[in-house]
Amino acid sequence: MDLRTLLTRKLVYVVITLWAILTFNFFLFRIMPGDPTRVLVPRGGTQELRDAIMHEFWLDRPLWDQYTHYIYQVLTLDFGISSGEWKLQEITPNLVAPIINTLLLVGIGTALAIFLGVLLGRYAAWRRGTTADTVGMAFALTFYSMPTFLFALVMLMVFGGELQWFPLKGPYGELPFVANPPDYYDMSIIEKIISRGYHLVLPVIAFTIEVMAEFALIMRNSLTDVLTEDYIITARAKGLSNKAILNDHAMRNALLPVVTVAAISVGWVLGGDIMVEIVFSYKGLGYIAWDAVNLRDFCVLQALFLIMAVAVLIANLIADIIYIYLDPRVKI
Amino acid sequence: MAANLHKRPMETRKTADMRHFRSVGMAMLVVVAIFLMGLALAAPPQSDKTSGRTAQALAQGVIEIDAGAPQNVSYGAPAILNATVIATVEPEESLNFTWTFIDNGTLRTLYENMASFVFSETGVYAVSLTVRDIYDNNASDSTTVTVLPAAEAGASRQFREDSLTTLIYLNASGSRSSPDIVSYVWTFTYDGQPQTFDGMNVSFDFKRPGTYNITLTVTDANGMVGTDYLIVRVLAKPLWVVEHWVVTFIGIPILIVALLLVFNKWRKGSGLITSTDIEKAKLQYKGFRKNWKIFRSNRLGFVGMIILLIFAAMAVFAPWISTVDDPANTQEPNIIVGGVPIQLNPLPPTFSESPYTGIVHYWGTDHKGLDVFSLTMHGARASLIVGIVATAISVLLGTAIGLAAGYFGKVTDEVLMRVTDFFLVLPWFPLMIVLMAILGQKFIWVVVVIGITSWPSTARVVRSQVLTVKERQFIVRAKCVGASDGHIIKTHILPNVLPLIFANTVLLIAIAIFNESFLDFFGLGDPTVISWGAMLEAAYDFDAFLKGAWWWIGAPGAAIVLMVLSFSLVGYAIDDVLNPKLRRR
Repeated sequence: MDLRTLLTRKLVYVVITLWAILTFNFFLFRIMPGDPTRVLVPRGGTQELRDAIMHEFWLDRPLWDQYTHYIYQVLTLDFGISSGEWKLQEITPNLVAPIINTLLLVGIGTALAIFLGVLLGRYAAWRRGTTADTVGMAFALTFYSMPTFLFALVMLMVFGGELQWFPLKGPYGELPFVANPPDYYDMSIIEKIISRGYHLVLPVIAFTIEVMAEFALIMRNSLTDVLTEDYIITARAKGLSNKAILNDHAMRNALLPVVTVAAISVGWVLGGDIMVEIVFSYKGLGYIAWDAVNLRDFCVLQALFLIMAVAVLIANLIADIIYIYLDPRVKI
Repeated sequence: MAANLHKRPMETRKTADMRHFRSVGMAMLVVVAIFLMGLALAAPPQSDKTSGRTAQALAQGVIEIDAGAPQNVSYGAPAILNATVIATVEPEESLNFTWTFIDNGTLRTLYENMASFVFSETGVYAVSLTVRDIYDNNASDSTTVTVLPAAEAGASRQFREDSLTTLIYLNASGSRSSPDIVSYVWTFTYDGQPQTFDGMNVSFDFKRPGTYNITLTVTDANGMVGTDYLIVRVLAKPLWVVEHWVVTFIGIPILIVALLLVFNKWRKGSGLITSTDIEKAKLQYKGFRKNWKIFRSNRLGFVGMIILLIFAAMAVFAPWISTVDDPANTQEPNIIVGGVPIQLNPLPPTFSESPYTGIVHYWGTDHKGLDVFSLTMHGARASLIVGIVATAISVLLGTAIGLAAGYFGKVTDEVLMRVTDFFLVLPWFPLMIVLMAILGQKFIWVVVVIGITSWPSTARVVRSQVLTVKERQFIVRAKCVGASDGHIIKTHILPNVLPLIFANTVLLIAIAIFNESFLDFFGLGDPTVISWGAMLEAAYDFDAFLKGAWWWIGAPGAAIVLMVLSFSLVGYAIDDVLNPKLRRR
């Protein structure tokens, strides 16, 4: 199978899954028990208001019309109108800032987590049985078992509340060593970057350590498996250096399951992101999802769920492509 | 033909009937119409007084107004005086309205079309209205406002039949009136008997379940009477099965399986315990001993298991270990100054023991003065129940789907695996949030939602194991002998697959507990259930660290970490035992 056929097949699969996600998302909010207008209509609303809202949200039409309309809306990136926080505003323009905030946090955090996690796992597996391995794995296991929100909470309360080294909440606004910082929109570009970085430190550390723990565990397991294979003994018998064995023979093979599991655990990564964002009041997608849940703003929730599902789908696609690059056997 | 012949007369008869009815109906309608018209003609013109006067007023070019119907207002609430202009020659905007009445001994005048006024005492007030236009044409009307004492019976309440608190204090201290209220009368029906009580504060023990409409009637010195209502609902004690649904949920399947086993034995005509059974048990015991040895050699796994046993003991014996009986409600007593509760004593969150009750708070109290030690002990229950039941749901679902996909292959496999892949791609954290938001905050939904969001990985593992087992010789032989699919799955595939997914199951429990604490921390869990996540939520909301209450975060936090960690350790250790390849490490 050549590369082009492979990629085409993957893309077709992505499109089908995308359609399935859209359909699932559509029915998830309609099949469920309960009257949607109960949430949308303010208490004591008249029948006319109820009818008008039903009409506005296309709820008075047949299910098929609603479905086609929903698909059309999503394809034109129109997620409807919010009934919660952004009262009766269009959702789409309001989602831009949160998406940027989340991308910053998750992007930096995940990159750091993968890098450090793979390093830690590699180190522990290479020295398995030693004290370094035990300590490293105890560290990883503890953070793997610790709910992200708990770690984030302790970080926030120690470094934000008690020591006051870092700001308590928000994605931007304060500057280090400046008592009365100007409004974010009045800052110069360098100040903006510093402000954002200052606010990102705690969330990124909390997020990175939690996600890193998982990658370290997977990496160690996978590498220990590979290191017991016969071809490692062969390499050793050939008189290769330890570095060559580890980098060229072991790591290349051990990274494959890591990529697969990493793709599957994007859901886990998103969960960690949601927890960190809520604890640090960091206005990203997770924080908004939480707000939408509290206000029962189902339109926003529907949009957010779709965005997150698509993000996972894209992450999976990227993982597949990396897999093809790492494992030449797939191309044959 | 015969059918047609038979049908036609029937039809004609029917239409004839219909015509008959229609004509009778028409006749009746005509009669009624004539009768109504006669009535309308014979009756005197409606409310001749007003319309006659209106005509007169229009003729003379003067004003006609209405001061509104007599009204009753509660004490303290504003009376709305609304003037309606019935007829005027001049434009309405040019009219001057004057309301006059005597309140508290002084003459009051208000100059608005629609005025509101709060009368200072209960009683009957005569209010007169005068309207004048620019040509000094005037008209007047009057109305009465009756100010009644405001009675307040307190908020509606709901209780359970067997709870300790069906003794209800009926409180009317919110009632207001200017001359003091002289009598409070509570009336309601209990057990078919009308009950009447006098006094501002009355207590009554509503033991029987039912809905009680309680009426409070207050009378002031002027003899004015005000009423208010209070609904007290006492719920019947739920059935044992409903209340202990977890026990039922776990117990009934076990019972059914046991009964089936006994039934099978009986059907085969053998005794309950045969020599083959003993042989089997011996073999199993031997295997178990061997595995146990390997498991024990894994120190971390062994420690994890001991911690888990401690947690299990905590969950089972929580009511006996904890220092207070009802940890979710047992607060410290209030400091009372002049009959008014000021604050809890000692001021929570605190680490010191209670000076009144003598309760020692081993791990301090939280913001409401609840005992953290007892709450932590009880929290183990929720975590373990969610962990085990949710995992049972997901393993059942995953095993069923994985078995079907792996064993039957072809289209079944393709379809089921596409579905599994789809659910594997769905971000399950947001999915859990969304499902909880839609379904509502019930404990059972927490369990179900966690269960149905974690099955895909089990399905994948089971499928891959089934695929390897399926190709083995003994399966092919069994097929040749003519064994049915059900028999092969039951006796050959399941026993070979189940041990391998056992380790996966234990790891799933850890994740389920993790998710439960997440849902509770973000306020999506059941608020009536004591859980570690909810304790952490309270600690976060009420700034535990800023108040220096480290125990408040430490106790539940350490409990979650320890429990998840030990489940993970045990899971890895079991994996070690059951997958011999890993042992070479």
